[in-house]
Amino acid sequence: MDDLIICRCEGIRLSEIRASLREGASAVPGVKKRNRVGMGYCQGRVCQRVVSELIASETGAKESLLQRAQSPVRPTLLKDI
Amino acid sequence: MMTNTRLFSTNKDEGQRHVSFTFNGMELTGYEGEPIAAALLANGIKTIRTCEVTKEPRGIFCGIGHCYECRAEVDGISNQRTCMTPLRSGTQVSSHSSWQIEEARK
Amino acid sequence: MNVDVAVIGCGPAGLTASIEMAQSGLSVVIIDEYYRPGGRLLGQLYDDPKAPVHQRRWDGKKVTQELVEQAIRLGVQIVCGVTAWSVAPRWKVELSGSEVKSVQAKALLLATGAAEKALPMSGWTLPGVVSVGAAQTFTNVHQVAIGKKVMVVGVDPLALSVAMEMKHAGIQVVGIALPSQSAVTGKLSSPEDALSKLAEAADLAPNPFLRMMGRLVAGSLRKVAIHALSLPLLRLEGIPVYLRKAVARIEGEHEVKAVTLQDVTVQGVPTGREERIEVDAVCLSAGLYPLVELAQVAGCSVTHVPELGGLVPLHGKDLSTTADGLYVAGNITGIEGAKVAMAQGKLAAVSIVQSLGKAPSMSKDDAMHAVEQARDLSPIRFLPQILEGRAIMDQLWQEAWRKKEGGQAWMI
Repeated sequence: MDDLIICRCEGIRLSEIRASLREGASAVPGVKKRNRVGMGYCQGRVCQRVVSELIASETGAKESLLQRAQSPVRPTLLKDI
Repeated sequence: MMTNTRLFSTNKDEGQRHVSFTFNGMELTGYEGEPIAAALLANGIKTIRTCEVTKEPRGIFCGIGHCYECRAEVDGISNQRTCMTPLRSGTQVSSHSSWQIEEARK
Repeated sequence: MNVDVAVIGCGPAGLTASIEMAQSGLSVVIIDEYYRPGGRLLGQLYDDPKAPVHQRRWDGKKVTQELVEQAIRLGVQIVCGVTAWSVAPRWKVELSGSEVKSVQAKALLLATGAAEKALPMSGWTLPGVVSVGAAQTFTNVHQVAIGKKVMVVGVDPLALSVAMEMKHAGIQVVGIALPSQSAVTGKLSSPEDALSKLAEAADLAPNPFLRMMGRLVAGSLRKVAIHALSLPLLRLEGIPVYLRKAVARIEGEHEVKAVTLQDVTVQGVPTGREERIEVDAVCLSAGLYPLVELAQVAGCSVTHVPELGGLVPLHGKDLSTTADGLYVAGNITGIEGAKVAMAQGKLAAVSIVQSLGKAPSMSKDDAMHAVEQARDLSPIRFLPQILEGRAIMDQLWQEAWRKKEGGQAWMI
């Protein structure tokens, strides 16, 4: 179960997210800084809400702060920026 | 790999031409204008790429361009979402970008 | 490119809004990264029980075509296959995949719709596992089967609807079941919760829950729901809906080959008995959430309202936001489906038209009333507490305005 992939883009497993929480992360941005959750191609579109709810249920926090979307919201070629 | 998984439906798009394309060098056919991922699936192909991190096979997941799991190199341009890229006659689809193939050859 | 209004999202909300705005004399461009117009409306194909008999077939492709034709006739520019990767006040939209690098507009309408929540479970990354939205899109838009034998995981109105659509298209849907309990499934694994969600949609006719029960039972729906939990399975047009079995694992080495179902108690606890069913595709349904990325980049306030589906842009009854000239419509405001999205598109358009000094075709009040009417006509209710959610948003908006008039900056 701990082996379950949560972040598909970066291959981050439940065990790694739990480890981040033990190290002191309390919300999605903290987890993201410690492993690579939400940094892949989908920018958290697939996993972020799951991670947020997971944090809330495991830390007892009411609602977890989500990462703030940044420009560009889709992978973009440098020539287009 | 010509498994037929095309469905018959009352709301089918009209006037679609059959065209040939390639996937990793393999010649296949599909409908002009349909998403490449649909043409691949219609040919029984579910695996579109390999996850760079975990080495697992991956394919269509969200189907609408949010997840990027269906990405492939299309006509030399990498990271195209095949679920949203229309098929044309002679389209060349590759699971790996040209530079990845070059690297592997070294 | 310079226009009066830029619309991001060519779904039911964006299209309807553009028609109203063009009719009032504004120049409009709609941008959508999908290769064709229609958004998620395209994939909708079912019998709408609330529509008059001769209009019972809801065909998303047809509705889209009608809207697109009307929009083009009125001079709306529709640009598909182009990605809006950023927006900046007031208002510049940055594009990629187009010769035109950006659009400058006086007003911006975000109609970007919703995205799907993930349902991580053992084997979910295998090719052959797709989201319920992908299943609907491939079945109804592209007419390609996601598999020959499909298991649907997740019991909610959308999952049931798509299961039936797949069956009607000739796909063998071997069953619909809940995911088994895990650290990430939460209430999704609860048989009681699933049934109460379906039973709560009691004023939708035919109620999917009642369809499963096969006949109308006298007495409270709650009692019927409790009775249903004692049954191993119900059938939805012949498709088994397992209430006392949950999907524990998706199996296969390179692709989906099978699923393992566990017998579970009424509380969703496994009893120990398992069975394996061979399938070549699995469809996961865990709910929708508003896609607010561009709203966040735009700098308008977003706020967490679970009753609306999650993080949503803070918006007024007229669909304006805390950013001047930025409006929202459709599922980005809260998950409600195509009919409400269309009515919201019209409402946002009326607000925009007025803000730019032109005369809209109806008053804001009439447009707001039309949204309520559309809500009553919606065949599927995605969120059981949507009305509470709308009320909460109105309260939050009024509070935000009180603070603003008190001299405080908009809360971000």
